[in-house]
Amino acid sequence: MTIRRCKGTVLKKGVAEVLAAVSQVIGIDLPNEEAETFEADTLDNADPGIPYQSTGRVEGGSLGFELFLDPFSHTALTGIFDAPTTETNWEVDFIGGGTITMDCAGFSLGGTVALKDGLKGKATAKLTKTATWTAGGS
Amino acid sequence: MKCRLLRAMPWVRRAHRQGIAPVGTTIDHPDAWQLVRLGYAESADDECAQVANMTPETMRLAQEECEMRERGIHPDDRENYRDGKMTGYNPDGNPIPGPNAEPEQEEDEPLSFYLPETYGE
Repeated sequence: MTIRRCKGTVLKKGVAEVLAAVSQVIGIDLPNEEAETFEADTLDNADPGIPYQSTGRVEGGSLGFELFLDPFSHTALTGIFDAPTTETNWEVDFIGGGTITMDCAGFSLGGTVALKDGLKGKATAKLTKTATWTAGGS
Repeated sequence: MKCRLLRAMPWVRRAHRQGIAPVGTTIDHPDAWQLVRLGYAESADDECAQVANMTPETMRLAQEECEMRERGIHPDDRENYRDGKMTGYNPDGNPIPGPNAEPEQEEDEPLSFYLPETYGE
């Protein structure tokens, strides 16, 4: 078991059927996957605790990331809106090994222009189904 | 629209194909020009070259940028990477020294706080 450093982590996006690294990424929010539950309480339940049961479904969550945005170079991101119905493919390669791959159905991209900062963009991609974690490295 | 890969790249996982696309693989795709613009590939037909719209100098810069992107070089460390002071990161997050890395400075000998025996004589 190792505490992994984040510096050197690479975010990749599917471009023309191969995975290409996204440049100038500052931070990544990994998808917050959740095994869905429903409240299974009944009137005759004497226990004060509220019981929950699993539905057997998993909410995949969303992949989020922030980057220094370059509209000339980040065409693979801005171009998503030219074909918004196309599924996008993403991968995060952790430093020292291990990956997480995701297919996404939705995408949002915004930016911030501020005097005292570089041009920054914030993006979110909605997972279709669930992410796939692959172990590897030290 | 076709491009030719200049470096090995992982395929997007599909039921019929996964693994690595080797150097020289020709990709026929409407977004092939983006791989050229990103420095991963060269144009393999006139249509791709026209849309990518790259000069030899912008191609060189894109390929240099591509190398740093693939290695996950942080924007703050790019100058050090270009200068050959580092080549990437170890799993502990520290930079891997490059050919031009400055040698580690030896620690100075600890100061002695003991006075010589002859002191005060």
